[in-house]
Amino acid sequence: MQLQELVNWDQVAGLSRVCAVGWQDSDPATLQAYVVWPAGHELITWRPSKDDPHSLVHETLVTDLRKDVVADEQAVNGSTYLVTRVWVRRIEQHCRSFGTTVSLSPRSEPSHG
Amino acid sequence: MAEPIATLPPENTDSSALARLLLLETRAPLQPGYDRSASLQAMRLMRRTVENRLASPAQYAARGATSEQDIVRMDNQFAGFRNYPTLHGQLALSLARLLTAADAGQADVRAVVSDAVTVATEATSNPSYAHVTAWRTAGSSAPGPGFRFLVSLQGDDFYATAPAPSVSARHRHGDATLMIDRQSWRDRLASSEQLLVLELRDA
Repeated sequence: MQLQELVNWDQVAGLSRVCAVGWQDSDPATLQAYVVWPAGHELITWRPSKDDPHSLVHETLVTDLRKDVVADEQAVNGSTYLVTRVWVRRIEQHCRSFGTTVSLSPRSEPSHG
Repeated sequence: MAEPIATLPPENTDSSALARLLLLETRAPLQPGYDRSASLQAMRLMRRTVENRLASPAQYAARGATSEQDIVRMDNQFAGFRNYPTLHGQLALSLARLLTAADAGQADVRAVVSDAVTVATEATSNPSYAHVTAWRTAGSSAPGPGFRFLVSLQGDDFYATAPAPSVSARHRHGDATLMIDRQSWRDRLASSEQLLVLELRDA
């Protein structure tokens, strides 16, 4: 399970709540899931790859909730990756309402590249 | 016919920085919804974005930039490229995986590497939306209040910098702007570029 693998990967101590919710508009190329992991300080925009069973931990669209969240659109200032606090709250709310939340602890498992 | 092996340009060149940025920012071949033709178009819009920012660096938090490499290294603009040619850890791993798959002969990955090199090195990039100045992952917030949505391609939304309309133009177009704002994002796709041109001409 890739959510477990995510928690293993970063080895954040203790029980972590991880929420995942799918998102897509009318374009199939927008199919993605948001994975919200407060203990790991990450909000991942996950675009699963058919050939990669570790695509969640390999995903590069990772919002660092400590560094990549700004007050408003003015502060995004043309960035490709900074996000607004309002947007993060909206995703968190969407996840609580429509997503799946699991509680996971890191396990010692063989790592991979 | 098999796609030839594409080699990325040396790391310390503008085209190298661009090729790596394009590869890491566009949807990978085995992700849902991948379409090679649309991906190529998205890459051209990304290159044009960097070029347009280089043409007016102060406007895009890039004062003093004199090259494409300077643009992609700017703080908080392109994820993981601040210390280019050193890439942020996860991006470096992702790029290495792509290149390994291409070297191993995975045809679709070899094709996307080839496309990135083509777009980064071709003499001119002539995308449909020549005013493009930003992109964001679909579903995320806009790049700022001064940007106008252009088109969505391969899971990325592209934007142009909105001109500041004159007072008279704002007044004249007030109702039309409100009507556009009420439409869905999708409804705006076809007409936003034309609207921009109309507003510029009328102003």
